[in-house]
Amino acid sequence: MKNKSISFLKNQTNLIILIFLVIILTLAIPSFRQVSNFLNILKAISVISIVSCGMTLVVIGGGLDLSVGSTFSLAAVMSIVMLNRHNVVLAIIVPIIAAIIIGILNGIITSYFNLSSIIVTLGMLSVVSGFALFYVNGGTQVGNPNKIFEAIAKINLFKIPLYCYIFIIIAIVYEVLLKKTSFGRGLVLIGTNPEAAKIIGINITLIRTLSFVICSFSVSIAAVMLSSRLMTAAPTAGVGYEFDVITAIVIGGISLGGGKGNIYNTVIGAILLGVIINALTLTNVPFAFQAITKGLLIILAITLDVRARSSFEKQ
Amino acid sequence: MEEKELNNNQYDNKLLKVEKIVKIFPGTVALDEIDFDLNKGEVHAIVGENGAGKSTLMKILSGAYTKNSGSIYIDGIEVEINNVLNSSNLGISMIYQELENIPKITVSENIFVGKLPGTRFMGFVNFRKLYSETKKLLDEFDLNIEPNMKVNRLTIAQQQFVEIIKAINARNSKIIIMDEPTSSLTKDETEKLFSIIRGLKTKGISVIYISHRLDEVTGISDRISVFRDGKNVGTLYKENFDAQKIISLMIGHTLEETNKAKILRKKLVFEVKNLNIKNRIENFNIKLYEGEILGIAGLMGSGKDELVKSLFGLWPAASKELFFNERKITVRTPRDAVNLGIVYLPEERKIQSLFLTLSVKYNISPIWLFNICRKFFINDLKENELSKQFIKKLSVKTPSIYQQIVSLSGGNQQKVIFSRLIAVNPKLMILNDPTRGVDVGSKEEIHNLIRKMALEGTSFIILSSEIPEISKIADRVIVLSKGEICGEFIDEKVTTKDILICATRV
Repeated sequence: MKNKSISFLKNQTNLIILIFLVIILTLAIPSFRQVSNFLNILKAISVISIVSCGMTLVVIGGGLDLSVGSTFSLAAVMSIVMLNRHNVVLAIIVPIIAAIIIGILNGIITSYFNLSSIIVTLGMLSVVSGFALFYVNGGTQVGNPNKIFEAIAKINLFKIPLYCYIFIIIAIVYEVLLKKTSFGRGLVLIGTNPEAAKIIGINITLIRTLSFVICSFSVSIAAVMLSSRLMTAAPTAGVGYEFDVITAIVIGGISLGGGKGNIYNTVIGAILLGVIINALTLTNVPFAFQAITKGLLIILAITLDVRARSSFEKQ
Repeated sequence: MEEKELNNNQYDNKLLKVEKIVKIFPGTVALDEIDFDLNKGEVHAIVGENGAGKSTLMKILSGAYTKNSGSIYIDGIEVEINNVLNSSNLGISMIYQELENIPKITVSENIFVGKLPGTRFMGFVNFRKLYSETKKLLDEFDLNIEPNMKVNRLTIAQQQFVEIIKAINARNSKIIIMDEPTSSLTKDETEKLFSIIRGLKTKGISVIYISHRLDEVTGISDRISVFRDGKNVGTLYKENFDAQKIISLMIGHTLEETNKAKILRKKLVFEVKNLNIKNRIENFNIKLYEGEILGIAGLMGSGKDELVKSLFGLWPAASKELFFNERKITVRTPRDAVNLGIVYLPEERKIQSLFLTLSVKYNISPIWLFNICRKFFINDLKENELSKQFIKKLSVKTPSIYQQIVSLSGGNQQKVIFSRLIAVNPKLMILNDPTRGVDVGSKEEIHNLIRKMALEGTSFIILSSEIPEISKIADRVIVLSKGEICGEFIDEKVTTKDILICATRV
């Protein structure tokens, strides 16, 4: 019993750090403890968390998707362009379809030709961001007022915007996918030992590709949400997004080696990152130092991850 | 052993002498007070079954392992070998089965690595001198290799020759250890290697030659020592070489189970026609019946690994026709095979089978989950039930099904892998070294399990690094040599001795 509670605490390091951090910040910074600030944090993390949840599936399968940022840009501008030229339905559907196509390409190229997903999606990053710039001729798109489209961001339920609920639903659905379905199990097995997975006849191409598709799909949902909130979209909206997403995942303790992790940990990681950034903003720390903090956090988290893994191998 | 002919005073210029060396690994005694010696300019071969201790002793001499007790003398002086550098400084070089030449640099740079000839000016490399000196060395051994060629463009045999010359030139080695040097060489290349070895002898360099091929061993060696169970069970001199005698020393006096039951071969289950694998297997045909255990024996380089891998879609075949239950099938990937009810147990448990960081349950269920259930949502209760059932059936020792598999012993890990395969009621099981790294008790249990399943109708193709294992469980054994079937033994004709004689005859 004692052992169980100790190992439970050990697995919840991030949650404990988060709770302590929130307590300290609440005591130290008056503006932090206002309800509106907590809502701000929730709004800020919702968009990035949706992408992180999708990325978590890819990472557990032993891959990495660096093209999320440029896919985000493309989906965001497509959404606004479709809204202006056509209607709300296409403003939601078209970015999703475009993102799914990118996901299929990422998945098939990496798994069918057995290439490193880092390299393939790095290439895709450039291709898609070029395509986004070409699509709108480099200009930022401003959306015409549209009540229905704006509703995604504006409608509140119990004072919380609709899109925050979308994030929560996505997190729960992905966790179920990961824990309760053969797709999720396949990802865990492939991420742990791809060769063994191949020998026992698991369809690696299908499962890996599906994970990339879900990741890109999540990106497009996040992009549509942000477009609705801002009603503008630049073809560079998602630049550097992949970095924030990977930071959230690594802080959440998901091993980049694959095979390990869950959505819950990613969400905690994203909240932790969101709270830290929020606190830095509230205390007027310049953006440059925020970037430095993020970078140091990712290095620290990866160091801990690698140390944990090497101590496992010694065992 | 009456064949022991040690302490012959005719050989007194001992270059290397090894006395009572003991090496213990967790669970096994790999070397049990072994003695061995080597004269100057002598070729001393070591033969023995896998696990007899040959490689362990060589790894101690080359500094990869350290001994638990015993002494090593070089030129009569006791030495300690604690690491590879020690060994190299004492003049010992090992030519590995996997070569360790630096691939992207030239032959001459390899041969002179660490002692490149300089120019008088600022220590630049004198490439003209490097070229001519290399040429001289290569000519000395009558080797037609261009010194400026990049090593990765040479054939395996040429790389090996370069490695040998590197050993005597760059490291001034006096003792060269060759471990199965001919396993990937052609007949001509083997001849070439032997002429190099004769050249080494005239230079006073000694060779320890490890091989399974008795014809070669008796042809090139001055003495042959036979290892069994970590002991040197006999040393024969050139005058007394006799293949029969060597083989009986290798096997020892274990009783052979001669009364193998004749099995009924009624229903044809699996047939391979016209299988060709580039550079490995030529026109291979085999039939397998229901409930039959077919053993495939062969030395390294015989093509047996590539053969079973290609049956399972893990190695490309130039041509193959497979029939399963008299229906033609295509197996392009492992998935095709698994879907038909054919499962494969790979030889490297940790690398190719286990999901090390996951639980026992996750390691048992996957094939069942993906090929029998085929449901999108996993039925947790059913999965737990299945795992518990097989843990009980195969008596896997684990605290629970949630235990990480890495914490189990090798034998229990292997039983988990067997559970995984058996859970789908396979019609044909291809097992590559099914008891490697498994303790004696679990080994027996696995053998019993295989026999029981065969009686119930499952067919088996089994490869093993130990021939006694094959002769113990197989109903029929085919022996491969250089990609062709060179012998077949059925029912009561399956004996370790005959298989060994057949496999070691080149």
